[in-house]
Amino acid sequence: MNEPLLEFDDLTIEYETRNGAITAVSDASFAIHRGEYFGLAGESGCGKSTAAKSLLNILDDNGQISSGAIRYKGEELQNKSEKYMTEHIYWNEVSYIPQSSMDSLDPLKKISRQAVEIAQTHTDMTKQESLEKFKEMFEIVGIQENRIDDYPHEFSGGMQQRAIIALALFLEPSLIVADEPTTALDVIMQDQIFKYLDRIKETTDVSMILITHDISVIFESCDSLAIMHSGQIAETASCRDLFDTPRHPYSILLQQAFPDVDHPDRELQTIDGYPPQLGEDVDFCTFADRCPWAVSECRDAAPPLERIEDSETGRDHYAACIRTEEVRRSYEGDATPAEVDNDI
Amino acid sequence: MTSEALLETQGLKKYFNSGKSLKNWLLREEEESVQAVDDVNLRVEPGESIGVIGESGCGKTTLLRTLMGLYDPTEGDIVYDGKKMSDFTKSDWKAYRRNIQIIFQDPFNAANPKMKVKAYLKEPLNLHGIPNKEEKIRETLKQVELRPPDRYLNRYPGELSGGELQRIGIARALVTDPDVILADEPVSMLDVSTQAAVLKLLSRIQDEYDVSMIYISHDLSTVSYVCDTINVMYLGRIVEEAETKTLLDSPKHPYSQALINAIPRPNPYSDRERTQMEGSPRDPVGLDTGCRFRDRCPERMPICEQKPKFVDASDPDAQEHGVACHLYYEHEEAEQAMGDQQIIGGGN
Amino acid sequence: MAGLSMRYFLKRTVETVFLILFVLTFLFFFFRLMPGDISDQLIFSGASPETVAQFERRWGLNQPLHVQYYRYMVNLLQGDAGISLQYRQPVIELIQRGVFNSLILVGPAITAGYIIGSVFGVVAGTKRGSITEKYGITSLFFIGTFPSFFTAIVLIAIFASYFGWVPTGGLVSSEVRRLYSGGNWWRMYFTADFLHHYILPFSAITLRYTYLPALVMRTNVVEVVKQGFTEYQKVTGLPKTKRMFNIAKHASLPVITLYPASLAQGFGGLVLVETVFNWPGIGYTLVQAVFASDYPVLQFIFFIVATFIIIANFVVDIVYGWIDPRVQIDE
Repeated sequence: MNEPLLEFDDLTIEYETRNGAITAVSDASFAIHRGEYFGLAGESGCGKSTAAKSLLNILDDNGQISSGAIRYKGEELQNKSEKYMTEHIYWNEVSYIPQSSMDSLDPLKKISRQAVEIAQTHTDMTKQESLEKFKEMFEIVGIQENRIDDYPHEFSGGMQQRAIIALALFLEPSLIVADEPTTALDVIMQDQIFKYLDRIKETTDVSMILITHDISVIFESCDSLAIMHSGQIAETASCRDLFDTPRHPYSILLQQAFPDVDHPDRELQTIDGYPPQLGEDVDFCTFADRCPWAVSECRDAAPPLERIEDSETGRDHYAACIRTEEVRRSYEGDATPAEVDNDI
Repeated sequence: MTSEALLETQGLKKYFNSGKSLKNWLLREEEESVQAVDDVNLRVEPGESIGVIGESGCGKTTLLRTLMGLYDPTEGDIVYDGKKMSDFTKSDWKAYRRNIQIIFQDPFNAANPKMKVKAYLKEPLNLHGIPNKEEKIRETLKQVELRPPDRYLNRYPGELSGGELQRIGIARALVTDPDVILADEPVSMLDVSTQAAVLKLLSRIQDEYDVSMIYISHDLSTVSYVCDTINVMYLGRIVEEAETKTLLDSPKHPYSQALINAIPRPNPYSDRERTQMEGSPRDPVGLDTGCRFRDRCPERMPICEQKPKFVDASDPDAQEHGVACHLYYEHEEAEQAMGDQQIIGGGN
Repeated sequence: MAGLSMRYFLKRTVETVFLILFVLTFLFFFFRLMPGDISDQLIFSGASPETVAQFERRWGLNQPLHVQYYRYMVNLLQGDAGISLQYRQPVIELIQRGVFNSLILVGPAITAGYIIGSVFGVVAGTKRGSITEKYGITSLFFIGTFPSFFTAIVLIAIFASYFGWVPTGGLVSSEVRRLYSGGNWWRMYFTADFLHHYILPFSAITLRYTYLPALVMRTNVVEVVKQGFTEYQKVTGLPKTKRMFNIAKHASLPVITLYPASLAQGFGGLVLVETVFNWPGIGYTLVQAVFASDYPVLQFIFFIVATFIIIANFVVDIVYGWIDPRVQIDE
């Protein structure tokens, strides 16, 4: 596979607070390819939203990228000015579906007007052409065309979300950043939306980075994913590889914590402890205090992302754990971590 | 279901009047009401846990609030321990409030930020004049796995995590030794890893304390973990009721089927098909008596203009399984009558 | 821009008309029912009962109230607001110049105050912690705590007395007044002389009314910037000026609802400002009429002021509904 579309290379993001610096993302690295849907999974506070926002340069005022690079189509983005982003990146190349779409549409403007404004900022389309294009988008997301002249408050929550998705697809970007796009929606509506997202994947070359805590959604709708824990990338792989051969303890435990309607009797896995509060330097594994396989070395240095060789899908598989071998034996052999530790 | 129900609703209805506008008055129109809960029959036995599943707007929150006594029913009854709520005396109400407790959805909002945990748990004990408060509080904190209790007694809500706060919420519900706990989406605001722990706790408490639970949620996967029986609710009505496993294995109502099919599976090899459902539930305003799902139902028939009866549709050798759907019972007389009258099918 | 529904507009218009009628009726009965009317005054100054009765008959004051009311309304529609009891002149003639002079002072001054304050507020809100915010808002606040007449005196002391740049009072100088007496009296409002006389009273009122919109606008701008659509508009690549304009539009909504209230307040303080500047508005006339219980005059002045504010409210309602279509639901 040639050059990835988007690359996060050892990215560290910090927030300045009154009590000192807090690290939100620590040495994160992963890559997304053209035409790929990529999931960024993790629990609240793990840094997934922050990572996405850094790509779009919409971090909060007190946040900044302290080291590392974000490469989009080979070009480094982290130091680019707002002007550059507006001219080259925003919406034409990368569009955004924010977490609470209800707040994103300007309540004082008709939706059609907002679409036309966006189109005319980035392209040469006339007003008529923009409206025609936008109507097509509404058809794709299943809203009646004549409703483009409505105000946002005249739409239900689910429709607003779909309108936002329509706006995100509108100028045919190369990458869509979707931050919990369906979390506030009912399950049937969520499925309706992913039906459209599936269709778009089949018919165009667009890539998507889908940020969510719901790993089921990622498994069903994405090609690959990265799992984050407290600012660190725990594991990144294709969905099938991560499901078949997870190597990071967190990946294993997290999957087991999700209830599955197909197996309602299955015992749910609980994970002890809480993600740690991070200060300035994160030179340890943030999962160590919660991990059944942890040893003292885990707290000495941040584990580097190591290549895992046995990938069936041909997609790179990395895990940040110094004990992947023991974890593998335990997981595949059904031995408990303690038994593995005491093994020869 | 032969034993005496601990808490049940009989034909419960809760309608809200949206208020007559000037136009209504001038045109002498009937004001449209929001039919949030329509003819709901629910029952929970001692030690049983039932779930009420539904998407937003289905009326489950209204149902909960009516059970709590916050709303007066428009029609129908709530019966606790054999006595109708409409006949409650003052002491009946006191007993009700002591024995029916609630766990709220948002742990951060439910607790009073200015109250220490100790005071927060003491409050219901003071209200109901329950003795041995210190001991009870400690005991309950241990039950919700906040050990040692002393670590938590003097903390403020702001100092605790979501999972801890939710446990405090559960503790507060437990401290009066209730008969029934009403749980309103108790884990929806928690992270997955905390969710699992709290769900297990609820399961355990239910067993150990012999407390009944009515668990309300939109998330079928978490409800299935805790509840023995599940009721599926759509636009104010219960459309299906069955034991959890039975419902998940063979849902009968078209809505239940769509709902279960639409849940994502944690499996990349899942070959689940995306939903065929279009649109979303309409507003529960100005609805007629016919089936409320018919505008979206793939199995719609002309008879669906009539209100479906709640019938037993259990498979042979399976547990009782109730559905409110015309597909599951005979309609000879009705069809004959319809044929005679040439009723127009279609249209809402 | 946004959309205004005809229904909303018509509804508001009808409501406004009813309100004006109500105010008129209320004022009519209010003054007539108050103790201490002109008949009592006449008796007090020594007139005989017969004189008083004659007086009352002449002015139709002995008729039942509802008859008087009916006649009043009919006359009003024909442009006759009654006769002043003091001056025996038609009320409208008596006060028309005064009303005009007051309105052209209060209206533009408070409007200017709101515009300046709003701009200030937007700048302060978007550049938190800047000099504009810290010192600007504080200064405006400081000035705004003083009543307009006090600010007026200070301004006169500095700019009129000390620097002598502008006259200390009056509408226009006597030469200009002589020049433009008669038919083209209105031309004198277009002279530089008038402007010289205008600027100080105008500023006194404006300064007083800048701080409230500035403060409210700043708070709103900060609130609006926090809202989701601000971030969204940045990410969709909308140019900065457009984004600022959108923010201002949102933030201005609560500010414009305060505008009629400030107008009402401004009228309240008008009498004193006019006194300080010797400005021939209705302030003086009003005070005189109160002492003389000259209720045709009083009633009509109150009515004019009330109508002015009602109409200002109406305009604000319409503008608000135009900008923010959400308020038009349920209409």
